[in-house]
Amino acid sequence: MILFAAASTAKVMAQEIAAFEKQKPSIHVTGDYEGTQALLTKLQADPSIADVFVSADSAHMATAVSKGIVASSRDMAGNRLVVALAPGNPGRIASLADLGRSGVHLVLADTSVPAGKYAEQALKLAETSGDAAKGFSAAALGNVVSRETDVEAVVSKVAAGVADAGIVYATDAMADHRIGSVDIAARDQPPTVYPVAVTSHARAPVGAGAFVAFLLSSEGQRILHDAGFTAPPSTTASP
Amino acid sequence: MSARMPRLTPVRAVVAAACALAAAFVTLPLIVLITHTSPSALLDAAHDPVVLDALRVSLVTTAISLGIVVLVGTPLATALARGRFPGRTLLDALVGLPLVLPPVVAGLALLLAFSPTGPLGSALSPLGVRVPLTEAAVVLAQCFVAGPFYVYAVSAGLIAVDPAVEEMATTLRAGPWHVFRTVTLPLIRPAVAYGAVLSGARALGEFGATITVAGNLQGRTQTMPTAIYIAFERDPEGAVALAVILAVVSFVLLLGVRGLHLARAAI
Repeated sequence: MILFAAASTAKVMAQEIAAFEKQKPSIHVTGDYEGTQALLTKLQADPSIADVFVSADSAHMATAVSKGIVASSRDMAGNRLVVALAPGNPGRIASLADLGRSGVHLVLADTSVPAGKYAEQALKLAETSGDAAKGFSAAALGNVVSRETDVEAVVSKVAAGVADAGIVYATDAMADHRIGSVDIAARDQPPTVYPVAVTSHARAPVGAGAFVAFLLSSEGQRILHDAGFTAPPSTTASP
Repeated sequence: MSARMPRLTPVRAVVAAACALAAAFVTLPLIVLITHTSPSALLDAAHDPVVLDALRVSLVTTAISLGIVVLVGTPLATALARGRFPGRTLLDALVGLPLVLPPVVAGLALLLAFSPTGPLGSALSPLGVRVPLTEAAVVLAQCFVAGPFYVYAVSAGLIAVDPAVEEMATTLRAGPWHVFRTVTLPLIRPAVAYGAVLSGARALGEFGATITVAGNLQGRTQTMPTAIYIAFERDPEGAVALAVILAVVSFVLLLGVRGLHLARAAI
């Protein structure tokens, strides 16, 4: 059984797989973790390439539904964004608003990646909520020195200290002890959701269904919670 | 008149089969690529500021990298081919290391070396110089990955030159630089041209090391290969148009350099 999952879920999915295989020793799960958009591109080229698809946003899952790659999805989890800090915090960043200060070197995921899209939304939300000054969003985007192809690449650039800060998921910051982090206020958080689905052309639909059921079970949800994932935002409708 | 067909010997048949196989192997995927795009998609891509920026970044950085590779690589190749010093074989093997290293690993090595806590980055940091995630990092990645092609080509060319010819010029009281310019260089010109073409082509197509150490920012560090990778995930058809543009630009450059070289050789 092949699992295609967003790069930001790589570590927790390895734990989920280990727990699932202990329960169902006859099913073997192989995980492939990349940016959601890269996984969707592969699924569009060959819809039977994977049995389960975990997207990092509802937009890519909606595309998968409209292209007939999956029939329907369930929301598995949510996440929060944080500001990731380079070791030693050389940019002396204490809040999201500091990312607009001139001279800060900021790394974001590309806007084709869910994490990059969420990051830009957070910058705009901070401006409208009054947590940051007017013109903050444009100033912060002007400080961007690179748009990475997945959120893991943002973490590795910040961890190497080649940028002062990045915007990543709270779960990434928790999992990587090299980087520090600063919380982003709840009112500046865009709703993030991870929908999961069995693919329509799955080669191992039974195992795929069992794995998705496990992810949504109390044990699967506990593993997600322990890794720092939140419950899915209740408002997102599943197709 | 050369219309008489050469007699088909087993050797000629094998050579002809190899040529046909190689030609088909290279051209078929490219033909598929071109038929996968439409003239309107190509036209759209050719007007897209993202594509124009990426093309400019690619051509400018490749030109700079090639300049550095020639300036540093020529003396290095001379030392490898002619030098008699301890550790020459070791140096020769070291120079080729980037050829076997996966580009992403090369990029990671450069990133760590030039990070503020790395050995080179910590020396540059007090001067206010940051290399990773800048245009300089694009050039760095290209030189690292493409340089060995030039050095090995020129070094092989130099080994083929009979040292007696140069010695003769030296006995005529020509200085070493004069000998190199008037005797050696004309003899190794094909090797220099060949090395520069290989190296330049490799630099133009560089992706893995570049995205790792230089990142991706439109107009600054986003090269054509990076733009193609990003476009592939956003809009695969647009990515094919970009790939065709890069293939055409590369082919025209190759054709120009090879044509110039053959014309010069014919004089």
